Amino acid sequence: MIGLLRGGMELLFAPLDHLPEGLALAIVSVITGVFALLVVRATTDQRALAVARDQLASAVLEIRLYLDSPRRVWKAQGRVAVWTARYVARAAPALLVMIVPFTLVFMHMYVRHEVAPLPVGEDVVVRIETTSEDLRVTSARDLELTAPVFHSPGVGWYARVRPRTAGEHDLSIEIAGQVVVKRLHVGEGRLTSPERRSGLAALWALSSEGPVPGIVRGIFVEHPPARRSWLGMPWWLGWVLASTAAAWLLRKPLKVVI
Amino acid sequence: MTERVSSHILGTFEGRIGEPGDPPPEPRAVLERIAERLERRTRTHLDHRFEPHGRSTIVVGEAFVGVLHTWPEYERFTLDVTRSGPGPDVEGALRATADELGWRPVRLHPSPHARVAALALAAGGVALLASTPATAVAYVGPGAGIALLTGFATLFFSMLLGLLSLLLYPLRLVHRRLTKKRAPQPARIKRAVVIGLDGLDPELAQRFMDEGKLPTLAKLAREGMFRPLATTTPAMSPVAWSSFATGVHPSKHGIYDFLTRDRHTYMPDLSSTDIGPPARVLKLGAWALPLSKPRIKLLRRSTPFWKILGEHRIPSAILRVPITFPPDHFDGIMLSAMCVPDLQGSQGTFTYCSCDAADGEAVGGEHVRLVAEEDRRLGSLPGPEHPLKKGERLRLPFVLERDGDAWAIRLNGASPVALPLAEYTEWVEIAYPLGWGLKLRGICRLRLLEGGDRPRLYVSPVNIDPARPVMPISQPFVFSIFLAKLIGKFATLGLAEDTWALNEGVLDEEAFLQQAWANHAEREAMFFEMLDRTDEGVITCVFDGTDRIQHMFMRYLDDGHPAAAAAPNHAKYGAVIEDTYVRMDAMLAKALEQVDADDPEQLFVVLSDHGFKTFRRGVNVNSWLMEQGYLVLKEGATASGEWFADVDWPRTRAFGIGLAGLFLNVRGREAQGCVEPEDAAGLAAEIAAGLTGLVDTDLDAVAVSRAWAKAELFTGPYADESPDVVVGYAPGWRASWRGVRGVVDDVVFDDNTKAWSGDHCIDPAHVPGVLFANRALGEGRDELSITDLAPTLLDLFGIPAPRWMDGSSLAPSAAGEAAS
Repeated sequence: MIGLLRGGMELLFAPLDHLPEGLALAIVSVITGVFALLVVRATTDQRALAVARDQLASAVLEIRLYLDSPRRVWKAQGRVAVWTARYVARAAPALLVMIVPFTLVFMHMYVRHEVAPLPVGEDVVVRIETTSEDLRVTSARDLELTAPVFHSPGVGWYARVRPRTAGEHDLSIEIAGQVVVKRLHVGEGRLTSPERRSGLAALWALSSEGPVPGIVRGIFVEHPPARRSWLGMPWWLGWVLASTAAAWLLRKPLKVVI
Repeated sequence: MTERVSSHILGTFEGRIGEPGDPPPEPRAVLERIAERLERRTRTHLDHRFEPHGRSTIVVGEAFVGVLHTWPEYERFTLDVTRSGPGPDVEGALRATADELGWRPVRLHPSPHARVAALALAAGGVALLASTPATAVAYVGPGAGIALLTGFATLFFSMLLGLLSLLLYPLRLVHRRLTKKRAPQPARIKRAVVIGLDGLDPELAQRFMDEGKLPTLAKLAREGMFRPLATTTPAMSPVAWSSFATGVHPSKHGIYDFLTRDRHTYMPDLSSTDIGPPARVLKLGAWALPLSKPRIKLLRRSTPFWKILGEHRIPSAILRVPITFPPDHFDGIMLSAMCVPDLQGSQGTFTYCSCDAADGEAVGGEHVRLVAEEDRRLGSLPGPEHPLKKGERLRLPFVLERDGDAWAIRLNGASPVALPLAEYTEWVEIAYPLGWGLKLRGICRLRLLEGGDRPRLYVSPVNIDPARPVMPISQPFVFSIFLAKLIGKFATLGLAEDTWALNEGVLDEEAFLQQAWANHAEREAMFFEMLDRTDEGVITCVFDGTDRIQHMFMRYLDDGHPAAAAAPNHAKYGAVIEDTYVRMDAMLAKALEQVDADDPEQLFVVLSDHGFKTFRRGVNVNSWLMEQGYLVLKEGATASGEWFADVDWPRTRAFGIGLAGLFLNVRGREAQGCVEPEDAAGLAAEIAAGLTGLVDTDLDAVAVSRAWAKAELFTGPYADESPDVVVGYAPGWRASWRGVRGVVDDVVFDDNTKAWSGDHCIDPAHVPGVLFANRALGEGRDELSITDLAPTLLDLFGIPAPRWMDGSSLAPSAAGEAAS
């Protein structure tokens, strides 16, 4: 199911991959903001949420009205705390429902905005987590092994390869007699090379290459970090702020109490 | 209640107590019915008991607890059901019963099993995330953003505000010490709770107390005091409550009636508030953009007691005391009441929508003709003048949409609001578009009077929205917003009970009562919230439902009333006034739960501004003036038409405006005056003498007990603004409806056949108010006056009454009190 979700997400994200990064992020923010509103509307008792919000506002205003009475200020403060807790409790169903889709969105955005594509002509580190003591990496026409494979006992193996050309290249790794392939996406664009995992963890990995044999825990490609920011902010902060702002602005047209 | 038992709540249901039109049954009967049905469904004997506790509680066996809240004024109840232990399938039984009885599920909570499953699912999701560290930190989307913004950011902001207020408290304390005076004498009380019940009549109160129906008031009378309270001349709420606030007679506060006259146009004008456009505007084509604030000025003069208390570091919470719009600036909290206008700037203009053009205009209301279009009816809600465009009136288009037998209204494209037949909606937000994205906002309630193919709809006057006030209705400005957030939206219109709609037959008695009690419930809620917050100083709240209900239902207490014969359902409405007194008594009992009446530091006072009498016959003083030659019509005219249309002003020497006042047409004062100023006093005395003892020739009975020339009554600094003659009608008579509307003809006396059948605008000697207190006040005094309240409160807080006050303290002297 998660594989389906992942595939669906990739389909949804595909049109955005052709847009400038800032615009793509803005569009995702608005969509997630609207989605959040719809989830809140569908999963929460809107009337109860409105009551909690109004009571919160009244408690804050009470502080303003009774500035000369420390006792009342304290009492109002207590009401703020109580109603904040109630607000969060009443919004909790929406927060719980949103965890899964938003985590998926986050992961798909992560590979697009957090890391840069693998560069041509520069070394790339591939980490193979396995308990096997027998591992060999084979150079290919477009992937040159630039250093001997390094073994860190208890952690895994590290291979340093240098892509010669842009495109999709398969790195062939032989582990205890079994050959496992890891596909590397090289060159400009936003394509990255997500990890391959085995077992249940493979369900959660973003890779579309399928799980690896059980002897391997995972194969990871270390991408260089993206040097971009969005209006001077990390992309994820921009996403949070923009999607929150979108939800805030659209709450009335969509008739949602948040 | 729902909040306290969150873990096992099954649901909340709403239902009708009885059939439409039935008298509401006792809560116990509702509970019995529920219990009986549940027993039948669960086939178990459910032992139950009742615990009346303001609202009623039913405890059914060991299986669940149902808390029933009855709202007789809406003929509805809500039932919160909580499982309290193992037992029969009460969930299923309850839901089946609800279906059977047509209860509307307000909230249905999942069963405990479903809840456990949901929690397990959520926990599983969280665990899955936690098992993949890279994604566990990923949940930072708008959900978290919204929660942070609305919840935690508010918490943070309030903590900051609270901290700041505590840090600044010493500075504020020093500032208060430096800028405010200390009471010259030690205060004898810590808190005064003053409850105004507008129009509560001493004779009726005594009668109901004697019958044992008002136990709280009887207890106050027995253990404290109860005396009639002399009202003002004239005996009207704006006048009397102004005297209550200021401790002075009318000629020192300048309020003599609801209305006064415009000296230039001879038209009636509101006596308490001057509202006008901004002084400076920028004209851009059709637009007139304001460059200054509109003119809103309270015309009541003198200094109210709460201002003097504030100057002496004693806080006050003043709720809904009449003639406080716009609110005073003082060291305290205030919500304005009587004379707060609706959005149209009037004292309450309802809208009546029907498909019939012949329905025409109703007094106090506007008629909107609905245009039929298949299953829709189109109309537009009239609003005020466009504040930015001269000569243009705002209108809000609406559509009535039909779905089977049900109707809903869609205001300017907004979400539809269901219109249940013969029920009020909740407060509905109205937003008149002004252009440029600006809107003029207000609130109203709607009531579908008739469904079917030709729906009829009542729209209440559009009130100023307390949560977004377009005019200042509270002090400080945020106070009304605070109240609206705390208790929900509420009526802000000064005269919120739509007496005109009942008078004109647009609303029936039931609809009027529902509206009156809904308004009262809002006022009660705000009063108790503020009572809880007022530990020291004064809290005053005036409840005016008592006045409106007595105005409209007195015909049921007076068999010989001209309107009694046509009044519907005497069995049902005959006890409305009694029921009103009983409800007020219950409210006072609730208030006394929060006030220790035996504590000498707590003053608990209940007062009214005047009493009530039946209003059977109208006296058109303008017609009498014409008959006596003081008022002259234009050549050839036999009647004037409304608002003195055909009055020959240059030859008219006197005219009546308002409910008790006559004005002379004085040269140099009125625009077309003909009475020389030096002749005015003599003419006033002559007219007063002519009116005193005026006999209703149809009944051969005295209709006017007494009339006063202004010199006999008014000697204060604003006496020049008073009516020149004040008429004191005998009980049973009052200014006629036609006379009040400026109609002059040959009919001086007529029957009052309107629902507005009780009144107090008569000789003040016949309509004193009441004064109850938890301690002896005014001992040794022959007469207690409403002007005595302000000096009494000041005295008890250690502040001698200013010398300009006409009233004097009713409290025993401090020395005498100490000695006793």
